[in-house]
Amino acid sequence: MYLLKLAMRPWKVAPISQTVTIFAVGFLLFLSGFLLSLQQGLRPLIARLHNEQVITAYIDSASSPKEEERIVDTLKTQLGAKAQISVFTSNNFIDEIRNEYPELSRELEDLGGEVTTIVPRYVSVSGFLPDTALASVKSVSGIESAESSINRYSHIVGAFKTLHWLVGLLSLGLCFSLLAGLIQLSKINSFVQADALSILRLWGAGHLTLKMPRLLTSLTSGGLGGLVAGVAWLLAAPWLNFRVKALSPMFADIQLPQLQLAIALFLIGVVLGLLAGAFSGRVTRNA
Amino acid sequence: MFLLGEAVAMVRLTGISKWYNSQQKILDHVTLELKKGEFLYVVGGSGAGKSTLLRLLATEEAPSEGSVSLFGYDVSRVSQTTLTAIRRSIGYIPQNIRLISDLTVYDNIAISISLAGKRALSKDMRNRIFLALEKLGLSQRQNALAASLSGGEAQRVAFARALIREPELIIADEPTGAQDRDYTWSLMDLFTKSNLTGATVVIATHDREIVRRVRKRCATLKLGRVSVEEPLCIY
Repeated sequence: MYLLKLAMRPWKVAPISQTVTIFAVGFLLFLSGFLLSLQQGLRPLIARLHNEQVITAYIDSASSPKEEERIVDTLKTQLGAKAQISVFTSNNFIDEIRNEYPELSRELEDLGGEVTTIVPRYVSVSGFLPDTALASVKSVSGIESAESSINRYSHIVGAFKTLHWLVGLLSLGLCFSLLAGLIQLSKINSFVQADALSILRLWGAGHLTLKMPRLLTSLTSGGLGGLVAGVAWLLAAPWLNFRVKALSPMFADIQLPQLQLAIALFLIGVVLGLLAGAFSGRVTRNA
Repeated sequence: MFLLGEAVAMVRLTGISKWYNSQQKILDHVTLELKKGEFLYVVGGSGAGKSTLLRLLATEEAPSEGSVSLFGYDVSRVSQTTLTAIRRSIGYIPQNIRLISDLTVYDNIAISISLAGKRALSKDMRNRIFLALEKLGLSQRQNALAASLSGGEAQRVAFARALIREPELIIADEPTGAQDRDYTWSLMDLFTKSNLTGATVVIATHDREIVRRVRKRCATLKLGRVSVEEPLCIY
């Protein structure tokens, strides 16, 4: 009990500065949490933009309809169930342009069997495909050539990857400065307890007893800061979700976590507080 | 509890000197030895080095030179655990009283007991605290904050705090300095009783009347050196 009283001494001596510090800790934790959740949200987006592709594989004009079926079966086997595969024949092409270009479609139909030499048949493969998918498609016999849309978003993927590590770096920096700040605060608070600790030391207090008030004070600062951040996050997360989605349609799938992150922020505050208390070193008079 | 052999001194100071920031020596090659159960006055004028000597004995500070041995252990070479055990066996009453200001009188004493490894909340211990406070005229002040005590009251609380642990070594720096004569003799009576029950006592004082009425061994400090050592003090 007396250790708790000692731990609360800084609050008695300087309640306003302690309160301001708690809110500063809470705000910085809130910011770190926001940046971290943004970073987590960017990860699947980058993966999707990087791996989602459409491969157009042109079938050899000499291939028979039976060959077509074999090609499709081979592609399904090679690329798995995630790949969506559809075959476009000359007739499909003519059907698609019929409404907009009726004259042209009629002329093509009039060509009969020769149409396959003018309008190519192709297989469209889409979905989350590995980087090697294009090479696999090209290796299938009966495929004349193939092209992929894999590099379509390369500039956006590059920008998002930069944003991803920048946001990670910023949140790490914030956590580091938070820890440094809490260590300094713990040291300052230790001076308020120094006289009592030097007495306890002379009475034969052990290492843990002497450390306890400092740990409890730091734990309080970190824990309350975490609580402020957690509550602020619960209140602000829906609005932040809306704002992030409004930045770009690409962010539509980003979903900032609410309760989990609020709890995580509180726990991070507790851990940072404990670490600050443990690393702040002993301050006792006449030590 | 330290088990000391006959040949082992309870306190042994060997050639200790103390200076701060390369200034003049406050203690200069002091050598002293006390056996278990001895009573020693450290006397001398103001600035003679009495308080410094007692701070070294209480392990509050380390000597600049020489060695301090308590209970047979050189305190500069023991582990933190042994040093803590040594401190738990010492009852130290510093000159600047140093109570924990935001705790009550009762709590200040109770903490001292619990740090000595005894159960401060046991009925027996509570009774002992109440009796000690009553004897020292503090029974009405047990719930008062230490910050609100007068100098004399605070000194008596420091006294109770040190002696209630039943320490093997009592170190008191001017323990009667802020007391009126009645309390002075009550405190000296308690020191003597503790000594009779086996505690080793070291008291620094410049009060000649105490030294003459309760005659014990004494060491006179002058300019940081032990100038005279007498088996029965005539200070």
